[in-house]
Amino acid sequence: MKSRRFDDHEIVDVVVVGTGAGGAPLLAELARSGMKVVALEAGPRFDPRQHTPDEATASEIYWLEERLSGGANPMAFGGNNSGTGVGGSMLHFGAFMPRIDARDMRLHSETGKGVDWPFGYDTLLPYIERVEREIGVSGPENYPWDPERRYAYPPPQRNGAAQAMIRGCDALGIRNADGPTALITRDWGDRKACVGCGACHQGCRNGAKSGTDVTYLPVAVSAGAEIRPNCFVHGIERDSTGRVTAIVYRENGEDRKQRCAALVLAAGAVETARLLLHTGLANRSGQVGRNYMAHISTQVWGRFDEIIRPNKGYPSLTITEDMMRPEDADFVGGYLIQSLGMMPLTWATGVARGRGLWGEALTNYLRGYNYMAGLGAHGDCLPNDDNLVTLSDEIGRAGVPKPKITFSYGPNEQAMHEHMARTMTGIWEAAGAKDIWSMDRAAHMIGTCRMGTDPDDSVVNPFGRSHDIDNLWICDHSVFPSATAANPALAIMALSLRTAEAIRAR
Amino acid sequence: MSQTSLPPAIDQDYLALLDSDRISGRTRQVMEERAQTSDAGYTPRQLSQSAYDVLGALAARVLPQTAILPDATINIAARIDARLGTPGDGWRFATLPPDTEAYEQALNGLDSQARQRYGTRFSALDAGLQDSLVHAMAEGALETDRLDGTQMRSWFADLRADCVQIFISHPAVQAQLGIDAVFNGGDGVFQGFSAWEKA
Repeated sequence: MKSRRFDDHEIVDVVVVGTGAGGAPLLAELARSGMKVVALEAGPRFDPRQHTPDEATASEIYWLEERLSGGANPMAFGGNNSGTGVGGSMLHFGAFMPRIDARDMRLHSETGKGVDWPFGYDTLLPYIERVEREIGVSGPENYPWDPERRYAYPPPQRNGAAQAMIRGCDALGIRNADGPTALITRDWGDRKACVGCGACHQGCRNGAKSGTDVTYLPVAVSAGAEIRPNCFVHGIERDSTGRVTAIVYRENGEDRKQRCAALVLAAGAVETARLLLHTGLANRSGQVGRNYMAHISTQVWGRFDEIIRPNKGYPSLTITEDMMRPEDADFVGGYLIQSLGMMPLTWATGVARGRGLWGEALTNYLRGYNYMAGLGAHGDCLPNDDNLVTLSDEIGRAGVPKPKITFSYGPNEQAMHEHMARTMTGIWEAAGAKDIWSMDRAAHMIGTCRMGTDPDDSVVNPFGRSHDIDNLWICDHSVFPSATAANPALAIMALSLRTAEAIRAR
Repeated sequence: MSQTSLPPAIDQDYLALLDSDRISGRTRQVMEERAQTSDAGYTPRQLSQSAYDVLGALAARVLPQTAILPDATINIAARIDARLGTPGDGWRFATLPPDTEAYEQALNGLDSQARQRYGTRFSALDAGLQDSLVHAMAEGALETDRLDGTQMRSWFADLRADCVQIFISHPAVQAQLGIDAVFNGGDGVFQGFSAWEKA
């Protein structure tokens, strides 16, 4: 994936900051239409063959610059959460790729709580289907919650956790299926079929996982785009009318500029907000950094009599969407459940933090690793004035203050968490698990630059363009008005294609 | 914590897998280096000697190793001190100072609580009294000079995570627990686990 290098003084059509789910589809689209485009990536370019299942070493693909995590439910960043490198967080993402439930995009209309998106699911669906087709997604022949849906690849093999979840759900009458996964199960060009190595979160070594590093980025480069790794953007220059003229970035300890006619920020809900807060731009609404959301991602773990070997196979295959609007819900919105295998260090960290064991009890529990399987939920989260990204008073990379993320559950999130724990405990009991326990956690970073039609209440318009600066666009999960229950990568990529159309049309 | 001069011995079957084509060259090198690291004569580079001594005693209570490694011990305190000299894991509790400072303050605070309550340093207490202090810390009930009970409880969660990460990453431990995660495929043939047998 060698690419040219544009001269810093050349005015390129578009600079894109970030090469993950937000930046890459758009980069490919714009390059294919003949525009001169450069993506600046803060992290390095990794050789996929050198990815390693040793989790301590694999932390090289995580965003390890320190973030300050506050609020009543402080979130863990870094590992399995925030990525770095050419390919962004899709280098480590788990490849679980459900679609958004249409109801989640109009939650306010349905319940009077949360917010509606400025457009409906029907607007997003063509882009979703295009992404699935272009990157390669596997799924079942008949998806119980959407019988019309088709996937190009059959699902990968079920591992121990996936089989246990089927058993538990079947016993309770909960519908379940092989979940949609962003990986290929037959060879496709240079990409090889998934071999069930279990190390999705440590980086895919054979191109089976459909991250941007093996999909949109090679397309972009072959269409003439440049990808510039190891470049951390920390400044934005503007002309007297306020339009963006160049970005300032640090490369090998040196500050450089790249002139551009338009700028797209696709650095993720924390870094995009951090850069805008640091530069003071695009924030006439005062909404930059606000409405920070996460997925309520409660896990339940149990020990089985039969050996599971949770590191083997695709980690999280079985899904149920039956809890998207449970009848006995004491909350609005809903959640997905998936089965969980897990690599040992990640699992042990969850045990140490989440179960609070220490002493002989901790040692003895670790001994059971090969007999453990989990269930994990992802649930919607309401925007809340008190949940936000701000700048701390500690200086971070290239002189930009470290971000502080404040996150607390409200009553809706707490009620959903408790419902998740009850439901998944029931499934695990029915599956025959013993010594069952639940872990309270949140995952994914969403919100902070939300889109909307009202410039007083949102940062970008429904196509991702800043209300304040007409050649500044945002294209990542910071624009999501609400979290929805689905893992964010698919919708981010779909929105990226849609934003690319809008940029091309100008 | 007593420290053997040699790193923990590794089960023969596991050593054979390390030599097999089921592991990449890079991963093999990482695991072999980790296996051969001896921290017997380690002197702290990030923490003060006094804090480091408390950490050694505390790690032995937080994650006792004998049930998994009967004949040798991984020097978790040394590995944590070395870890504190690296960029870290991407986040920290906003209520705590940066990691090295938090470790220094928490460990010295724990030591001074040991002296106040029992008249001697933490590392000289018997295991039962050490555990009672750890229990108070886990409950958020251990106030120290610099960090309050809630901060100590948060720091203790960080400590537990650091301990288990170092421990379970070690080839000797993975061998004892039968964990084959790093043998998921080699450089020549990337086998994966698609056709695995259940046992």
